Amino acid sequence: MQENQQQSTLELFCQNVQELLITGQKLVSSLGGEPDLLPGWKALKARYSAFQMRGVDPVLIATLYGPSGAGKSTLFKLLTGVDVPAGGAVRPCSMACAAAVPEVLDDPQKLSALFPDHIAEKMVSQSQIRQTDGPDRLLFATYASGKKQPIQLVLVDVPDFNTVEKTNWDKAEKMLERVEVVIFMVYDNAYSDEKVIRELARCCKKSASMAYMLTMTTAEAARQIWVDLVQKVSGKFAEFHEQRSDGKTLLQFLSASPVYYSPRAERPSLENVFPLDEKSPDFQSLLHGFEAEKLIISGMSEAALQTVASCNRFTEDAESGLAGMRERDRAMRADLLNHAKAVAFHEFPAGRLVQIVLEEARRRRPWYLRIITSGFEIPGVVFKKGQKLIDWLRGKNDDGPSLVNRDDLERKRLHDAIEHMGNQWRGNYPDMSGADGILSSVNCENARNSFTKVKIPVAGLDWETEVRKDLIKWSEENKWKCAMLATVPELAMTGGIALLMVDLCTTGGSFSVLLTNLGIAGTVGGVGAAVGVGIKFLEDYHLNTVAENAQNKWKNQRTDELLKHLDEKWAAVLLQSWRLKLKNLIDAPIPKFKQICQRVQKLLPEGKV
Amino acid sequence: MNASSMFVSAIRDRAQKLAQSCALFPLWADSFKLDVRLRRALEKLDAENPDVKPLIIAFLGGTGVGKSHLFNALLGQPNASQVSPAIRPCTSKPKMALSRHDKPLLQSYMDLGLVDVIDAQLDGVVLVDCPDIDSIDQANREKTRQILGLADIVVFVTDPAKRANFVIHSEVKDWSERKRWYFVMTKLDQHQNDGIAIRGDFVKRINELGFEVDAKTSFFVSCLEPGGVEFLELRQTLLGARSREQRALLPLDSFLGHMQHALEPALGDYFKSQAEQLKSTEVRLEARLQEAYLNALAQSDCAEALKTLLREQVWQQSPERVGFLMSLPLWLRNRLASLGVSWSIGQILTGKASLLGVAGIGLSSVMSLLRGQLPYKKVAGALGVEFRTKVESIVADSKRTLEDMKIPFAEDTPKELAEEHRPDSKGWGLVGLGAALEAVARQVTRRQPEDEILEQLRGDIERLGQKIALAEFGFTVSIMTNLLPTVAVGDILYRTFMSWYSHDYLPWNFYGMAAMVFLGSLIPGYLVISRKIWRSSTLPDMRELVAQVNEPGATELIRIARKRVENLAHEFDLLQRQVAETRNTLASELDNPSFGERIRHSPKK
Ligand SMILES: Nc1nc2c(ncn2[C@@H]2O[C@H](COP(=O)(O)OP(=O)(O)OP(=O)(O)O)[C@@H](O)[C@H]2O)c(=O)[nH]1
Ligand SMILES: Nc1nc2c(ncn2[C@@H]2O[C@H](COP(=O)(O)OP(=O)(O)OP(=O)(O)O)[C@@H](O)[C@H]2O)c(=O)[nH]1
Ligand SMILES: [Mg+2]
Ligand SMILES: [Mg+2]
Repeated sequence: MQENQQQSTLELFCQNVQELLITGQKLVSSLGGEPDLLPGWKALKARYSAFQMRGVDPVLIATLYGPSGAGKSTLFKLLTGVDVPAGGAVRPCSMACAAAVPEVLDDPQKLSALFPDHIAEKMVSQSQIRQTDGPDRLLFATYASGKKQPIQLVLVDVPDFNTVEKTNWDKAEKMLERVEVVIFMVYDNAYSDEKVIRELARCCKKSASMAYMLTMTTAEAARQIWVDLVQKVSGKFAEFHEQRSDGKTLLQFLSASPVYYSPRAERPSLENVFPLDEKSPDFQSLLHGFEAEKLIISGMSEAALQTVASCNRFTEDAESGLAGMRERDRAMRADLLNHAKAVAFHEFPAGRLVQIVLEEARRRRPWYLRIITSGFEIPGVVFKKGQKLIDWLRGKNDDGPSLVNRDDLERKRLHDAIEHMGNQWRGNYPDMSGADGILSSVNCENARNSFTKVKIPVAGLDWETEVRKDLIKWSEENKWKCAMLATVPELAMTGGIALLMVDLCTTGGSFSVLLTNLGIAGTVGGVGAAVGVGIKFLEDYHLNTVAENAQNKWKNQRTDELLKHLDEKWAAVLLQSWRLKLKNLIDAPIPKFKQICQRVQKLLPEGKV
Repeated sequence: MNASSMFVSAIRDRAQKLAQSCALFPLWADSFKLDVRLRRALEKLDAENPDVKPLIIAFLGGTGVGKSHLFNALLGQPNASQVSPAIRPCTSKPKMALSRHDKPLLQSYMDLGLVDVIDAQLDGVVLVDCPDIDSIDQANREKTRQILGLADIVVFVTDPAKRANFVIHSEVKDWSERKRWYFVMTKLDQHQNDGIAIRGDFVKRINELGFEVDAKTSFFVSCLEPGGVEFLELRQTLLGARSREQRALLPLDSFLGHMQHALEPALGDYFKSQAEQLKSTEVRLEARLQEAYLNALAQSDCAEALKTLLREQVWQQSPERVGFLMSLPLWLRNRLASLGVSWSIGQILTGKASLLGVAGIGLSSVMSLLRGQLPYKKVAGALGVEFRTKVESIVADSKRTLEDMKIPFAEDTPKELAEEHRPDSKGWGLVGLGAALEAVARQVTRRQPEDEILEQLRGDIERLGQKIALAEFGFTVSIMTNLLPTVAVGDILYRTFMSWYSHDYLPWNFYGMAAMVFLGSLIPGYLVISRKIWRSSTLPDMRELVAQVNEPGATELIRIARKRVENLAHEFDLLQRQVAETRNTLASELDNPSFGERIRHSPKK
């Protein structure tokens, strides 16, 4: 009954672990993270998949772990009979991981299931251990389990973690992610080395079971060292007060681990290894006395605990990141809107408005006026024709681009707007700027280049339609003014005053000729002045409301058009990856993942199994 | 001033210059580091007084390698520094062995409160047993570093087990240039069998650190056997007498060592990579500018305007070049032409003649006639808004690049720019005209007073005109065109003279006819010259022209920054070489067992 319950808890635990691994993998990588870099993740993945693949006999993996020269390879040789290079002639000596496996596991495929992150390769010569290859390589050899062993034990000898051969460090640390049992070996002078103590903490965190072995020391010294070590780590290292999944602190776990020592010897032997505490089992029976199943599950639990902790940290970061990004997104969109508005407000096409008014007025004036004014119309037409003729004679058959017109100014203003926003954002969001930031100069440059390549959308006709509607109402209310308006320009034209107006209405201003001489500032001012003239003219004809409405309609319509343009053609290009990240964050099933993490944490088997 | 101080002052000057270059990049960690280290080296040099201070020899090594035991054994005082067989680390305060006689001398150099002083029979040498540098006791490391900073010679003490430890090697690397070294491995007694192999492996590791050791500077001893041959050699080497002359050179060597340390190759590489990055940005932005130019020139009638200006310039040069009688009609023509040129350029540039436009052109023509200036400004205007925007965006990109690279903008540095030599011109006046175009663009990028721009453009066109005039109107042209008028004048003068001489006066209408003949004789020459001018003053291919735009204003910020970084990298290299050479020269004086090894090559990665 009890057994069944345990069984089902374990199954539930495994189910949830699997869910955590699958969801987490997707979630973390969709948010630009690397799951393998989360503390505990790789260990959980490896241990879980090995657990799933387990056969009838559970296989326990133990490693010798320690600084160079601690005697790992020497002990490995003694324990397994597998011949690996060992000794003091070169330091470090081992450059690759070596595994001694029971005969039943003499199969790279089986071993690959057992070590999912390694590539198992049968060791053919000692020298392979001296070659520096990638961290994935695992050389293996079988060892004779002469006596009938209660469990399948794989013993691994790893390189060091403290010499100048830094590639060794990765190999050792990688193996630590996988194993259940660690035999931490250290020679007398190295026990208080900073790096050694840090690695010791790591072992206390990762392993399901640990033994501490001091080599090349006397019983007396070993005793002193052990006391000193426990005292040192309990005082100086906050890390040793962290909790394991079995409820113990790392310090408690360390203190509870069996300690062995071996005196320096010309010819090291297993008989030369003694327990520090008489009550501890002797070293060889320690190795054979492990409760494999329990340790395997406990190893998985340790990894799960750390994974849950680091996933929680990750999701917390992601959530607070999301809040910040949302805020920033709002601010940036507000900037876009403001700039679109500013451009739309500035570049109101007053000339076009005057043109529309004149057109409508002309269309609506009474027939008799039309006849009267037709006489005045002629000089105007002649003048225009004459101008065309002159142009033709000079070989200029098109108007050519006038230097400064409304479209150009609008384009210039949009350009200024994106430059301004770019600088503003770069200043406000230092984390996004800098050489590799999303707002880096190169990214800004590319976004601008792509923006300048696309055409600015032509203003839609909606506002014009509205204006014309207003004008119909106006012409009915102000019949006489309408008639005047339709007539006066023609009168004025012959006088030459309206030349200015016509110029403005038809070409956007041959003014440009004059304006070139004034420079760009003058140009803007000049156009401004022309707009002023237009507005004054509208006032005189009681067209204020019409003009005002027209302006408002224009502003609203153009703001929308420009905002869309700025957003799609510039901001979306510049912020592409950032917005994608934001979208991913919003879409990511963070709450669901948090729930899974919680469930796994609750189910951590601890003492239950 | 002795010879060594001559070396020193040369290096000191360079170092100060380099420090100044560094100051231009206050936001770079690397330039800050370099600056700090250079200053420290200079300060240290000033503080040194070799005549009085005893030589300080300090031990550097991991915990438990036997530093204290070695210290005791060397001094022959078993209890001088505490030794522990088990508890690590053991030594926590440096122990300094020195003779009573040296103590007051040392007091002025360092704070003796940093160490426990131990009386010893030493002469001119001080031996310091330092705490470890690899245990969890961080304070030990700091104390040791303090002593190492003061030491002249460092003894790297290790045992076979710790001989390849990363942390220890890093510490040695960190000090390697600044100090002179001995290398000692202890516990030989525990390795009777594999001693030779271990020694070989040890020497190999030390070589990887950048040293080239031999039996005189590396030792493998047992502290338990102070009577051993190698141990005695070690003692003799460390504590034996040293020549005073050589001692006097040590501060210089230490200074050079500190300089070497400051001039870490990685820093130079960083500067170079930054310069390259700037260069590639500069090239990219300049390409964009050239494209902007080409577009602008293709769209507007800029080229036409430029051509007219140029042609006129050649005309202006012609009277002087052709000389003699022909100069008269040419001069006359030039006076009258000014008005016409303005007019035609105005027409070209404005494209169409509206009433206002015509008035504008007329006005500016009159103005230019009054001022005697050709309307260069028009050329600037003709490049258009589009061009202006593009140039502005190039300036913006330069600024952003610099911001990203944490380089402050240069304030005002016309001098720096002037220093750069310009490439020799090829073809006719391309460079000059390129520069003229550039002058136009500068008006866009910087708000220079307009007259200055006009002056520049004018100068460039003038020079180009001169060049063409020089090429076109040689001696033969001068002779050819002047021949007819000269004959005519000669004939007229001859007749006039003869008539006066013979009192046979010519009729009054002779003079009228003579004037007509003279004027007529000028016509062929004038035609030849104007034909030449029309033919020669064609503008070159725009692409080529634009390619010659040199040092454009739009990329000025980035160019100045690039030159500064290049300069920094260059100064860095120079100083590095000079320091290395000086230290090598010094080596022949110092490199012997008495003063230890110095670093020879960069350590293995
Ligand atoms: N295991 C062990 N080795 C001892 C002892 N006393 C001396 N040794 C020597 O210590 C040296 C240990 O060397 P290795 O076994 O190669 O050490 P390792 O930990 O594998 O070192 P790396 O491969 O460099 O990481 C050998 O030369 C042993 O002979 C002892 O009590 N136990
Ligand atoms: N067999 C042998 N033992 C040595 C030798 N040198 C030192 N030892 C022993 O190594 C142990 C450590 O020596 P210490 O001198 O305390 O080491 P240390 O480098 O001063 O260590 P810290 O003070 O902790 O930095 C002591 O037990 C010494 O007796 C040697 O040459 N041979
Ligand atoms: Mg080994
Ligand atoms: Mg000591």
